[in-house]
Amino acid sequence: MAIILRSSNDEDFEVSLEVANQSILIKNLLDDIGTTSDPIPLPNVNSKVLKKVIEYCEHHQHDPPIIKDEYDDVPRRSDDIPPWDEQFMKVDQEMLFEILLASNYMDIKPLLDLGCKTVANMIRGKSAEEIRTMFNIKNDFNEEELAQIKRENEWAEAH
Amino acid sequence: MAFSSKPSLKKMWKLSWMKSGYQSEPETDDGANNIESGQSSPMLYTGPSGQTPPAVTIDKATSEFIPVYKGNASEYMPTSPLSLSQPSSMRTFMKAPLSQASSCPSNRGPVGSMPPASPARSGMKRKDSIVSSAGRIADIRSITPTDGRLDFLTYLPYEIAMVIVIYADFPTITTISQVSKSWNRFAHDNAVWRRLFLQQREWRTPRALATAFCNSQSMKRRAQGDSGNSSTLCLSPSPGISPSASGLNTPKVGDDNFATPDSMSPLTNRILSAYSGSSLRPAINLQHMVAPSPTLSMVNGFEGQKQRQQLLPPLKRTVPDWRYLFQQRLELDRHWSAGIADMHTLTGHADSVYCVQYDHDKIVTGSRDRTIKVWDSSTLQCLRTMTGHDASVLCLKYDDTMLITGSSDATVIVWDWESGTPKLRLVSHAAGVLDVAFDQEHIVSCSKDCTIKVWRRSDGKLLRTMAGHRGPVNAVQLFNNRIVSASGDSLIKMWNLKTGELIRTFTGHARGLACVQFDGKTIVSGSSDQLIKVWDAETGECKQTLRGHKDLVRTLHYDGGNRAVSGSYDQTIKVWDIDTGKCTLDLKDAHTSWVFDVQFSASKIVSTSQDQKIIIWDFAKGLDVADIN
Amino acid sequence: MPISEEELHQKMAKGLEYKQEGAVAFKAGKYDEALKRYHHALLYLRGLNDNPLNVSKSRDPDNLKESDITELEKEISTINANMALCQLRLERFDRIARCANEALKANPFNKKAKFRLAQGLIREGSVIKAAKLLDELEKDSPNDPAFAAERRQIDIREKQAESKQRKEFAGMFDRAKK
Repeated sequence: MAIILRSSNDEDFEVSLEVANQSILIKNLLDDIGTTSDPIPLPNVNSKVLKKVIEYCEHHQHDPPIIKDEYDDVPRRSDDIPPWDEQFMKVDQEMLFEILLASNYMDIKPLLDLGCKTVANMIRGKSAEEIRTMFNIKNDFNEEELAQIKRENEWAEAH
Repeated sequence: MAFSSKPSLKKMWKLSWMKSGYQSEPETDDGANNIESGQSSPMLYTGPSGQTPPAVTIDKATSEFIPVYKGNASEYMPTSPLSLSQPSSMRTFMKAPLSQASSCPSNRGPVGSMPPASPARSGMKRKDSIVSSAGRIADIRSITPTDGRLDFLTYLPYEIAMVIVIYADFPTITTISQVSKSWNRFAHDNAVWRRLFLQQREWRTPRALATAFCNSQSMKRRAQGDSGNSSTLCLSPSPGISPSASGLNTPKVGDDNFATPDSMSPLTNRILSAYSGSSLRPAINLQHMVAPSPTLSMVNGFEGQKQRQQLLPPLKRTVPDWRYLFQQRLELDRHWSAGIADMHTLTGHADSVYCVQYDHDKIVTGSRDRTIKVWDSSTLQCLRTMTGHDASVLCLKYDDTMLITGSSDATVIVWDWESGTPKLRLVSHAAGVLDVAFDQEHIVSCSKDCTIKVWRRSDGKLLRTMAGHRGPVNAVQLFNNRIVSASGDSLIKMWNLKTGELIRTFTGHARGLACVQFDGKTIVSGSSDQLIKVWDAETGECKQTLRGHKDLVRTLHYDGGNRAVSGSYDQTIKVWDIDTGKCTLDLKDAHTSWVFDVQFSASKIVSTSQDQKIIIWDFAKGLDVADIN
Repeated sequence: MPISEEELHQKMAKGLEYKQEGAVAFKAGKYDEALKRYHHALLYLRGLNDNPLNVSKSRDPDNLKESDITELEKEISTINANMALCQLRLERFDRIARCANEALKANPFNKKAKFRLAQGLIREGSVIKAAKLLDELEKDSPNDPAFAAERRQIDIREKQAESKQRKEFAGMFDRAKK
């Protein structure tokens, strides 16, 4: 049975039930309403992002379910991204951001995690200035404030 | 609840369910009215024409325009009148949309203005040009470039941003704190630090987990308006959380008693009582949990209990400052690396001290002088001396309910903690009992007579004997129904506890083995060949060899993490990093003779020796690690 | 993605419209229809950001205050709680708790959602957890008849479980006599 997903800009995407069910939001809906040929509106995802998200879901539709970690709210490793996923996430920042929001909206946890890990990897190991440049952030500290922060961080630096 | 009626929406507020607050009707107005508290009902939103642009003031410092929100600040951040461009490309709360790239700098007038990257309820600074109601153009100093760069952390929903910060992990947080004020808030967020703390596997001691769990739950409850007894929440450390950081099943694991499933460990009991402020009995109604720890009650009588209660720092009722705890714990790591510790020496035994086990309250030692002594961890006084063996006490293990010892007299004694007298005597070995281990149902002993014996814990009945080693079996470990033994015949053997069959043999040491540790996955062994070897318990492969001792490696402790501690006839104690195989700390010139036993925990090492001394190395010197250690 | 205020309002309006339609369908006894409406409401309301101010405030999930919950979150929570009620009516017992938990995720202070969760747990068989929840809720609204009703449910189910067990073991000893 094909499920039709309609993006915010009214573009329809046809996907299999298995792919659609990767999104818990959609899965719950289908569970309750029954599979339908009516397009499911996703007013908060535009077609560009939806396409990307569907691509991810199609690739991962046969993945075994994730075993919940004992400390589930404490994510740890971010260096274990498989090559396909890594390539998939090679997008510009706006798309990356959109993917994060879309996966949160559609409740696709693995994709959300992937997005978070990707951003984390971009940040790790960089200096503050490099991060500012990377994300176009204005340094709104004055010299004294920065010095204060550096002092507060001394215990961590000596690590 | 006051609500104005809107033509397009009928409010339905039913009162017909007979005074139940939990009506069996769906909520219709809940929250809907609150949404209307803004200037106009969103449900009636017809278009931008009804909106007036907010008044604007100028930030003196930067000459940037700051909108001023009147009255009830709308939840939907009012923007200046909207652009004529398509809604999907209008990104109000973010940087100027890409499609507007070229036109942005030159945008004037209300129509084309794109609110900038950093909105805030007050003190919002607009980065791009805005035309205020007065028609002036703001300074374009920090025009947002339209090359696709995005300040993620600031704009993502908080929960997602936090996940990113934690994936970026600890050292990065200091960099994050310097990037901008918005990013800086993560560095001061207690929830972030709590997770960063728990991310460090080695720091997850039972106490740390209890602190994390209790406080997180109690805050949640408090927030939800439940002013109930917060001590009701502290039960759960047992179920969800592994009792020891490593999951080692044998009691000699760090400084806390292994919590057997059907009894609360003294530690948790103490946590409960400290939390509820009373003495041993927690204020909550948990009869089955409340039985006072036999170890505490028997040792001292009433005075001792009180005294101990004071000596143990109670868990704080308020949420701990996790950043502070992180800092303390990090400093503790540094003390280990640098060897910064207070050294205490206990004397009292009349001869060599062969074995030791300790926890938060007490240290228990066995000696060639045929006695077992129990020492108070805080005051370092000897609380009790137990006699019963006819020869040297060579080994001991205990948990909440039971103490067992093995002796040169070839017997194993199961002691009654309360009375301090022997309860059962297991007689079968033909020579000295060199090591003991136990689990819920079994006691395992190994002997100079080259055999390993399995006994039923409840009544001491001998269940089976495993003969296979060709030399004295010097050490034995028990985990998950598997026995690992180490012998003078230079072999390590793994056995099935229930059937007695041999599973595999580990070869590699050149000479006899004196000690072994097993946590289910990894085996660590010490030998007369002066080496320590680390083995994969499943494959039998030797993964690491630790070199450094100059004589027989007599004792080891390994907790399943990255650290192992060894004691040797070379009179030194060495701390090892399992991953790298390097010796990270060398404690010498402390014992003046052979080291016989060693145990470590998050902040301490305790060692015993032929020199009759028991030495405690306390790395928490000057630190505040009571809640997490 | 952050959107224009106009669009935000439009979506909110649409979402709330669906919510109202859901309530109408519920009253008409058309629970499936109501669920459908509620689902659509969520499709419109989820992912909207009515509080760009999380920029300046960090929300410690361990230390949340009721004032931290945004209006949008409250709406979403209400919708989910209503869905839980639909599931109850439709006797889809395994789904009540799911909806209730979603409601609590959006707004942990939503007492009705908590109550729905208790109802769901009872019907799923987790009576102990349910009883605990009821106890907590009852502290704030003692003597609400709803609680008594739910406790009766617990009793019914416990009796059912008991009689089932008795049936299973009936005649066991009779056989031995032969």
